Order: sequence, then structure tokens, then C-alpha cells
Amino acid sequence: MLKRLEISALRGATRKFCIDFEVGKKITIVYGENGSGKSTICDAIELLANGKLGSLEGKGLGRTEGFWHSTGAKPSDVAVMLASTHGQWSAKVVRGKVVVAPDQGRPHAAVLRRGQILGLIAQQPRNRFDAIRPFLDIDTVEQSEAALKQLIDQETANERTASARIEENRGALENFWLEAGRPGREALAWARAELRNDTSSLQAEYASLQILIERVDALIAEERRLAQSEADAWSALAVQQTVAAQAAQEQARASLQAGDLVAILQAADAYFQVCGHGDTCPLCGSGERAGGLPDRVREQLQGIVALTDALARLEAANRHLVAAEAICDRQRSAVAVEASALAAALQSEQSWHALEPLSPLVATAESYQGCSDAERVSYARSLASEAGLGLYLLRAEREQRQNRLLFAQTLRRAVETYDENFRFRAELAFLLPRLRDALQVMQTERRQFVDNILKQVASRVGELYEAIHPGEGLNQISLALDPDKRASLEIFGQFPAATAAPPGAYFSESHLDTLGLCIWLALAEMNDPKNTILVLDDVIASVDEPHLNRAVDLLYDLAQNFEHCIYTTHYKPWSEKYRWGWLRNGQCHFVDLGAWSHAAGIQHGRSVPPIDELREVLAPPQPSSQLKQTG
Amino acid sequence: MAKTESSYSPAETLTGLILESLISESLLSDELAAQIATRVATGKMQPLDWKLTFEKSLGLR
Repeated sequence: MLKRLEISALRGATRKFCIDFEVGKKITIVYGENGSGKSTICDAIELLANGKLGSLEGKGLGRTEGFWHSTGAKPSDVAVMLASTHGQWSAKVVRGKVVVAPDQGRPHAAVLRRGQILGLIAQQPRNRFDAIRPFLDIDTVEQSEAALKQLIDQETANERTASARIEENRGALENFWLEAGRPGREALAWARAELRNDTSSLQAEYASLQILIERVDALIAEERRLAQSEADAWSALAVQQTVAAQAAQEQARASLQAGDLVAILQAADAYFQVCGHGDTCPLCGSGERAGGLPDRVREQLQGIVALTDALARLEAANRHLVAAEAICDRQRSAVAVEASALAAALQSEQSWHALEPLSPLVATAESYQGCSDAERVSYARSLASEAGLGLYLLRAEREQRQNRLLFAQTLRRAVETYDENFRFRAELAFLLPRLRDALQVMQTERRQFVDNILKQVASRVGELYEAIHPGEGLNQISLALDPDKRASLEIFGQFPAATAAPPGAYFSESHLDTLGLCIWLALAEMNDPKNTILVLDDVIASVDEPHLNRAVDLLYDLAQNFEHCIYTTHYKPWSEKYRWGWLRNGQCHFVDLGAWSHAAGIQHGRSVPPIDELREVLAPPQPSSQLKQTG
Repeated sequence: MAKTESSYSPAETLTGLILESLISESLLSDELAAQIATRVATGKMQPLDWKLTFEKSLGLR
């Protein structure tokens, strides 16, 4: 049983509000006018037990966490404390989530609000099932069932894809078969036979041709480089000869002395640049005409500069010619090396000698191998020339083999893909029916399971309903899943001359209210009631006096099955009954709420019924304890 | 307030019934049913889990 509830900063609790539950009473009736804070008390229990506020749901607010706290307070100010004979728990709101301490043994509460009754009775069957879903508590199994259904959908799509691919593969093989001239019985058998053929000799021929072509390419490239280097050398020689003639002319123009003088003047100029000039000639030591000697030396040098330049150009031309001839020599060796390699390759691959168009190349290669060193470059160039002519044939032979190899490879891939897709589809053809059977088993078991629960609930609903509406003949209630729709709940009642009719068609509003209440109570009883706090928030309002009395009696009786029951109401007759002692006051704790204001929050009103006050006043005076002792 | 440990939740009870039926229909072996029972009851089974389980059970893997 509950001992104490404290609420701070939650919705209407703008000030801390507490209820100390009376010892030994499992029923607490909270009476108050509209807006007095009754729903906030229910919210506090629901927040702590279920981590949400049902009173805000379905009001178009979206996420409701932002509206939990009282106006003027912060979400972090929200606090609920509940103490019972089992322990004490506190709930706080941390970053929009409810944190309960300790988490273990957290109270379990079933909270019913008037809006949910309407949802249960008046809503579409689908929404109606959603309303009872939490009590069935099989959501997780339904998630596993949904995963199995998802797998079946995926594998069905995979099977379709595999079939489409098999058709594509078959089409590709047919095309190959047609290209090959429709040999054999049919495409697939022919393709498999083709794949059994050994392609190793074809691969060897291809590799050999590849080597030959590389050798020919290399020889032709080296021969072209040799031709280029020879042209460069000829050009260098021509330049050298021209420059030499020019230098000879310049030298003839100058005297031999002048030629020697150039060297002396250059040495003197270099000397003056490094050592500077004194008052005397550095050669003879005389001071006569020594002034301005460096300038005069430079002037003389400039006079014979044409000869100097011609000699310098000649020297450069000589160097360039030597270098060009060296390159030619190296290139001749390179051509000889590549020619030897090609000749050796041709000799080692005798199979190519049978090709008629290659016979000049083979003959030249043989001649090359038999020639002297002096003739080597000349024969090598002949071999390069013949190789250039035979290259197209070698390339054609290589391409032919390459195409055959590629064809074999493509055919192999096509057959392998076909086989792979065929195997995959065969596997799915075996697996899918069994998956569908498994899903059928799950759905059947779930439906039977839920139907059994609903039958039990319906039977109990009939008993509860009969208790409120005795003898009205409206207790034959049935709850059933719609066999054609998933998670869709139908409610039927039996009426005179109308069996299996929806209650909404014939029941009055008060009948529907009590029917919804009975369904809810029957569901709440199902799930561990001894450990459940039953909270009914203003659910009975439209029933008349006799039905109210019976409903109240029923709630009293049911309260014995639950850990604790909290009923809130704004319905005046409840208060009047309590006031005049017509409720079972000995079993019931009555909390009378006063008018709410933002400044004062939820307020306690008068809790002691006037009838008890009157009894107290009228009661004969009790003898004092001293009198008892003496008397 | 806490549930007694010996009692089964509705999800566990339903899972037990489903797995028994799958075994009796020879769609699932006892051993594999025992392996997946908790995951089925807690909603942790993913499509791939079902695939692997049935493939093993039917000898495809």
C-alpha cells in the first residue's frame, strides 16, 4: 500500500504538494472541481511508474516533455517521490528523460483516463487495439515477427532478381552460341564443353608472340634513335667544318705575332683585374708611359676579339662533334644488342618459322647471327627493317589469340554467373516456402494467444458489466481480432434481436462509459494486479445514481485485487456520498481538493466528512483515563 | 511490486508457444530454438538472424 506522495513543479503543482495515505486503506478517492489538480496527481504516479504523462498525449503537442513542468519552473525542478510499504522511489527529469532512483522494483501503475475510455469504445478498431496493446505485452514478439516478414519480403525480391539474372545470363550464352554458329545441341551444353577445352597452348603462343613483338618494338626504337644520333653527328661535323674555315680566315688575317700577342694581352688584362696597376710596368719595371696601361691593354684586346671568338667557337664545335660521335657509337651497340635479342627469340620459337610472311625476317635474323663484328650494325639495321615489315603480322597473330582467350574467359564468367544465380534461386526456392510457413506459424500462434486473452478478458468484462448493469442482459460482450486485419480489435455485444452488434450502435453514453471502464479493469487485472497501482482519473461522470452506487461498490471490491487504487472525480454525488457517510468510509481515504491557484498550487480541502464531525460532537463524553483507573 | 522471478511474461509465454510449433512443424531444431528464444521474446531478432537460423536448421549452412 502507498504511504506518501510528494509532487514538486509538475504541471499544476506550482508548490510542493503531498498526500499522506491513510494506513490500512487501499482506496484513495481524490475529489475536486475541474482544474483543482486531480490529473496532476495521476500524472505524478504515471511519471514515476511509466516515465510519461498520459494526460498530455493525443492533444497535438508532439513531444510532451517540454510541458511537464509547472509554469515558472524548469524541467529540472520536476520531482516526484512515492513511498509505499515496499520502498521509496524518486523521479527527476534529466535532459527530457525520467530518471527513477532506485530503478529496481519501480512501481507498476495502470492509469485510465476518460479520454482513453472513449478511445477504447469509439475509436477505429485499429486504434482500439493500440489502446489495449500495452496490457497484452507482446510487442517484442511482434517485432521479431515483423523481422521475419521483412526477411521474407527481401528474399522474395532476391528470388525475382535471381530469376531475371538467370534469363540475362541465358541470353548472353545464346548470343555466344549463335556467334559460334550454333554448334552442338544447345547453348549451355556447348558452353560447358567449350570450357573443358585446354587453353594453355593458346596462352603460351600468346605469351611468345608478346615477347617477339616487344623485341621487335625495342629494336625498331633503338634503330630510330641510332638514325637520329647519326643525323646529329653529321650536323655537328658540318658545323665544325664551317667554324674551322672561319677561324682559319681570322688567323690568316692576323699575324703570327699578333696571335702570340693575344695570349700576352689576355694574361696582362687578367693580371690587372686581380692585382691592380702601380706606377711601373709589371713586365719591364719601367715607369715610362706606365699610366693608363690597363686601359691600353683592353683596347688592344678588343681589336683582335674576332679572332678570339672564332677560336672559341671552333673549340666548342670540336667538343660537340666528339660527343655526337660518342652517342652514335653507344647507339650502334644498343641496336646490336636488341638485334641479337630478337634473333635469339626468333631462333628459340621455331613455331613462327612456318609462317610464310615471316620468312624474310627469319632469314635476316639467321644472316645477322652469322655476320662479322664489322658488319653487325649494318645487319642489325637490315633486321630492324625486316622486323618492321613483319610486325603487322605478329600483331595480328597476337590479337587473334588474345580474342580467343578473352572469349573463353567471358564464356567462363557467363557460365559461372549463370550457375551461381541458378544455385542461389534454387536455395531460395527451398528456403522461402519454409520461411512463409514459419511466419504463418507465428501469426497463428499470436492470434490464438491474443484471442485467448481477449476471451478471458471478455468473460471478465461480462461479469464486471453485469455487476454495474444487473439484469439488463447486456453482459454478453465479445472481443475479437479482425481476422482480415492485423492488430485490429472488434467489440460486439448481444442485444435483444441483434446479436454481434457493435455496442456504439445501441448503448447509451453511460453504458459505453461503464463498458470502457469494465474492459480496462479486466485488462488491468490481467497483469500482476497485486503489484499494480490502479489509477482511474475522472472516468465515471455520466452514470445515474443507481449505476454509480453499483460502480462504486464494484471499485471497492476490485480494489482488494490491486496494490492500491486511486480514483479521482469531479462528480458531486461521490462527494455527497462521502459527506453523508454512504461510501465505505472505513475502507476509503478521501482527499478533498480546494481551488487551485498559481500562487498556492494544489490545495487540500476538508478531508474529514461532516458526518464524522457530527458523530464526534454527538458522541457521549468518554471517561477520562484517570477515571477509568479509579473506577 | 516487482514481478516474481518464476513467472513468465506474456511475450515469453507466446515465444514458447511459437517455438514449440516451429519445432513440431520441423522448421526449427530444438537446439536452435533454445538459442533464439530470448531474442525472439525481447524483439531482438533481425531479418539476418532469422535467415541464418533457418538456413542452419534446414541444413543449408
